[in-house]
Amino acid sequence: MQEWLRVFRLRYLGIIAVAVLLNIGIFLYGSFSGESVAMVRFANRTYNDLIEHYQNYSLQDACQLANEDYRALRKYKNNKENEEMEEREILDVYQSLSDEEQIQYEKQLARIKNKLTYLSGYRDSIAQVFSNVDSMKRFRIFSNEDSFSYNNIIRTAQDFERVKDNTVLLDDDSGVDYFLHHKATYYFAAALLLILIYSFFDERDNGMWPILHNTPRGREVFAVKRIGIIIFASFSILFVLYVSAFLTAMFRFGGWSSLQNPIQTLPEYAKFTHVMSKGTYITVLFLLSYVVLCAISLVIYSMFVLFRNRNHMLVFTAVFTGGEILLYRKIEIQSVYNALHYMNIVSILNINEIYSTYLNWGFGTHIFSVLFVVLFSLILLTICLCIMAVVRYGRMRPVSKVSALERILKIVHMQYQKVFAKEPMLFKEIHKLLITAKGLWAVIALIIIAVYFSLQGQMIFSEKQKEWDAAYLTYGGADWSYFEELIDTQNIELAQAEQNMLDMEALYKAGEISFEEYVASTSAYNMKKSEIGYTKEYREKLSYAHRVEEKYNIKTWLISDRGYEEIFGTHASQRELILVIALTVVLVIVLSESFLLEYRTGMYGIVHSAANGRTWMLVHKIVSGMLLALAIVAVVYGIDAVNLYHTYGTPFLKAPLLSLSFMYDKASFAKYFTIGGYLCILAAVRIGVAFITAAIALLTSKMIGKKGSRSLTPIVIVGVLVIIYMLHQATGLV
Amino acid sequence: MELELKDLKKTYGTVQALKGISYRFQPGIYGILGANGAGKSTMINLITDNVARDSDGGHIFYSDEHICDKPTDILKLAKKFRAVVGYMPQQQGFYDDFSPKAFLRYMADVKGIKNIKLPNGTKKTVVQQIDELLEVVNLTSVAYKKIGGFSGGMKQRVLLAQALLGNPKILILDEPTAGLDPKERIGIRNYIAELSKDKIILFATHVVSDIECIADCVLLLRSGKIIASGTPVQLIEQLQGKVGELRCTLDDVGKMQEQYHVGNIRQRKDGLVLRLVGDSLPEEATVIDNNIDLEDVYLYYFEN
Repeated sequence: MQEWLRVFRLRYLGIIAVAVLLNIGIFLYGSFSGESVAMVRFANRTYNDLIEHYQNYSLQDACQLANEDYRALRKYKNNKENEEMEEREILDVYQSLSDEEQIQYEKQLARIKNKLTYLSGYRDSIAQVFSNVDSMKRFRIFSNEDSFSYNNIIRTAQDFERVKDNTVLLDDDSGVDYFLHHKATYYFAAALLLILIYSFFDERDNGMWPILHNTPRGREVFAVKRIGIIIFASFSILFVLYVSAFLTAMFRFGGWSSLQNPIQTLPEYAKFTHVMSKGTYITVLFLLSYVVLCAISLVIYSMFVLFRNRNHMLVFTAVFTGGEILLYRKIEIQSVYNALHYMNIVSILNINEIYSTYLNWGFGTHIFSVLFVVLFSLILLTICLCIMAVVRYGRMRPVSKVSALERILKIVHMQYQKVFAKEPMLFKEIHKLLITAKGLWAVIALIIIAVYFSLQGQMIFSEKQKEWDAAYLTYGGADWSYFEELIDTQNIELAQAEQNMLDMEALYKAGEISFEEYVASTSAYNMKKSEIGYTKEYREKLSYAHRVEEKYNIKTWLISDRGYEEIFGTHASQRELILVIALTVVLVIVLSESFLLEYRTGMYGIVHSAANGRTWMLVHKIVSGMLLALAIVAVVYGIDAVNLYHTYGTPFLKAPLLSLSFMYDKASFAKYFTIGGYLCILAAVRIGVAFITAAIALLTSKMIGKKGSRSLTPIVIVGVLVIIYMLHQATGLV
Repeated sequence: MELELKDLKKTYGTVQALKGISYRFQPGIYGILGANGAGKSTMINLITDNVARDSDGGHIFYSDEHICDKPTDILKLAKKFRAVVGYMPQQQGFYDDFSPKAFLRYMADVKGIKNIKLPNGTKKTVVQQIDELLEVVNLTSVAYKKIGGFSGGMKQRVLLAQALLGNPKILILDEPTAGLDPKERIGIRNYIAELSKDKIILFATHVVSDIECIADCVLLLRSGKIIASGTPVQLIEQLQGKVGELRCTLDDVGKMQEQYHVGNIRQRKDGLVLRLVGDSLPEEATVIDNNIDLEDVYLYYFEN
């Protein structure tokens, strides 16, 4: 019990709470996919409306209807065929929407169409399995009754027999779908358990090991006790993360009623061969995930026992995990080496991928599902390693000779110290924050977050949008003439086509031309009209440009809004928010050690009583803290900027900022700057915010001093975020 | 050069740690003896200005022909005073990932230690000063190894080295020999004795033998007051007629301990010999006048 209380102290519970919030945050961020809140709500509403609409039909009829609706919509958009526009309810709704809403509407309709295509073909796909079984059995190479192939065929038929009469239906299972795709839950759980396991071995660094080793219950019994803690902690931690993510998914998307419907309504589970509702599947998945997580944690724990130095084991775990991730990404499922894809920590942690996949392994007449093989191997490995760990823990003495790795590390460290000793005080203070106080781990975590969020949720532009952007790059800029001429030409041609159509109508009525000739003129007119639809964005841009010129006497450039909207427009807000929060948290965690470290290490007395130990020291701590903050900000936003630049580019930096129509609301400020200038201001603001954060962290570290502990850090973080929010409200720049 | 404590008081909440200490220190070694809670650390913290003085907490004056014309409060001297102090605390505090070399370089910066001009016109750089100190404390061979991996005694030597940086005029050593083996203790003691000619050295300790041979003056601190002070010889002389030895059996030891203050119990060929210290001794005890040591003085003042 005491060991349990020692590791599950307030700080660790705080870390769990942060992990839960982050997990929810990542889920929500991913589910927004870079869209604004309004557009996400619109997408949800549209999807639900479409489901309600198509639920009134049988699956086959609904599928056919959805396909027809989608074709009609595409036809309306492109107007490529010379046919009459159809009368469809979908098109009425579509026409009433804005451009952005239309893009969403089309997306949701495509989703429904694909879903219905799958659902209507589900029974056939199952029947196809049996048909394949029958036909394959007739081939000679599969007819050997002792071969794996033959037995696998038989087994497949047996398994799919279970779902032969399974009925699927259209329902709103977006919530369940997103939840089952959300893998971060397991990674957070694994990370939390790694922290727990790491803290088990505090005794190896704080001098407690000899004391523990010398007690009656300080050896094998102790090791077994810790195994028990891991078993229980795995359940608790996973439960909290899993349930919170699930509830978030359901509140975000709704669809509680879909939980009672078969899991096979989701396309990824087409080959799942158990009759199970989504609710039951989620429960079973939790139990499977728990077994897997517990087993992996016990394996890691056993390895920590066997490695004398826990930091070496930590590095080894990181390197091993990196290798596993690489293998997972590089080895295809169809590869002959697919065992390395499935028997892989990434796959195993996300056991859903294996559970939902129909794949058998085996030899001869012995056929096993890949899930069974993976679980069996993992549990066997776990039991063996746990036994070894218990025995080893009991026998490993606190004192031993230095290993080869430790010798190498000592040599490396000594060489570093030779350089480090000569470095000026500022460098030493930064070293203290990153190495002595272990702030480097927080910085590494921040970099991972920056890389992840700057790569996630990027907008995918449609073909038409890409064409527009290419036109802006080629013909856009300060000179509007290309677009003005294009539009003028279009207008003239439209007018001519309209006149021609009217003339033709008159002639047709007079019986001087045929119906086909009349129709041809109408089609020509319609084609001209659709071309105008294609240049709608250019027209709007020109109209906007004229408006700005009239009001502010600024000649804007004709450029695309899209890329910059991702970089600093409305679509950037979520990414910016996460980066600001992560940056704030890390800066406060790292810099609050600046003065606290002196108390924690017992150095305060010596430093404070030295000649330069006060003002001079204070200045150095502040400067080093600010330099470190600057470096961290540069790294984080640098990563962000590089990724964004590669994805969207930053053309026309000299263009007036008001060239971007989404900046019109901030015209009173925006009129003074170019895009490049604004980017510089943003960078300066970010650095300024980082300096404010650093200053507050340093100030509170100084004020808290001896009295304080790290438990006040969350309060400081919240305080800083409040200040940043107030700055945001006041300036809109932050 | 003189350091004067004038009616020094300090209260923590309701506990008065120092109750008005006054003393004048001049160059030499001052042993400060006292049990835990006597006020040694508080006195040291006040001198090093690591704890704020109470508003009516007295004064600490320092006079030095190089720094000030007349005795000046150390708070007014501030940085100038701290520049002449070398402090070795009782608690071992380090940055574990620093090597001794890096740590001393760091402390040299914090102490504002510069290159020293030698009488022959050459310069002794900070690095040379550090190398010499590492030699003195016998840590040259591990100059670039992590302090975190050192034994307690080695860490103690690093602490001593940093206190000696810059050749301070006032050296404050709080339990400097804790964790050292007998040979190291003797070595450190002898080194400190050599330094004392032009320094004020305050040597706070529980181990009487550390200061017995080298202290010019011993201060006995109890409950925030100096209860006795003087040279070791003077203190010993004050104990004439108050130290005795008594032979007894093991069964009688308990009875003796209840009635008198028993210092040491030694095993001799013909039984146990109790060393008794106090104002009243049993009649059968043999009074010792020639063989009194500082430990007896300690026991007399702190066990009585």
